Amino acid sequence: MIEAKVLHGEWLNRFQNNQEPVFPGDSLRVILRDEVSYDYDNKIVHTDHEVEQVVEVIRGLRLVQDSML
Amino acid sequence: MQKLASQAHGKTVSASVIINHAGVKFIGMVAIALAMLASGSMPPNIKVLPAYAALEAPTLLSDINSIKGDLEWLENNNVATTFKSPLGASEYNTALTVSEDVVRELITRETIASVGERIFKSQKTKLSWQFPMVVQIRRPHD
Repeated sequence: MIEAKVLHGEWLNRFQNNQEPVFPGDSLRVILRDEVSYDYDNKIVHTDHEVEQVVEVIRGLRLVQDSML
Repeated sequence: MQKLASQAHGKTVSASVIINHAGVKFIGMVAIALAMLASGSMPPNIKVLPAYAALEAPTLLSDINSIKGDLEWLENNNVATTFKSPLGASEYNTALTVSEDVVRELITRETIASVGERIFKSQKTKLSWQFPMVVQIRRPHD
């Protein structure tokens, strides 16, 4: 797992005020900014990820178990 | 150095034993030469200043780490000096800290940025929302 700051303040406010529900199994379609830093030996020394925009919440599959009776 | 420091409670520790740190040695030599030049006390047998050589970041960081490790042995009333001369002594700053950002900036040659669309599947834990493989929702500037 990696961490990313969500810079999309408007969406973040809605999410924190429960106006933008995200349930387990849902997915986020986002515009992500990656920054990868390399040292003088071309090895990766740092990566940074920021969500510039949350485009939409994609609802996950809701499997409903049939009744056995 | 560690042994010296641990034996030197309340006394000034001469740190000439760490003169093998190339970067420190060079910086110290230049500092002394400049001080002597400024005061007019440059001995007549010194003709030139040490030649400049670019410091290698890994060597410099290694030296800083080594010095910091050695200074941790000092107590509040201990002092470690780099060089002593008739003009005075140069002391290590025991409060010196090098931040992660500075180290990263020193060792980074190039940063490549890219922007693109991704889809992240969410998963809720007891403490927070997590998006395995990608996103954990946080406030900006946390």
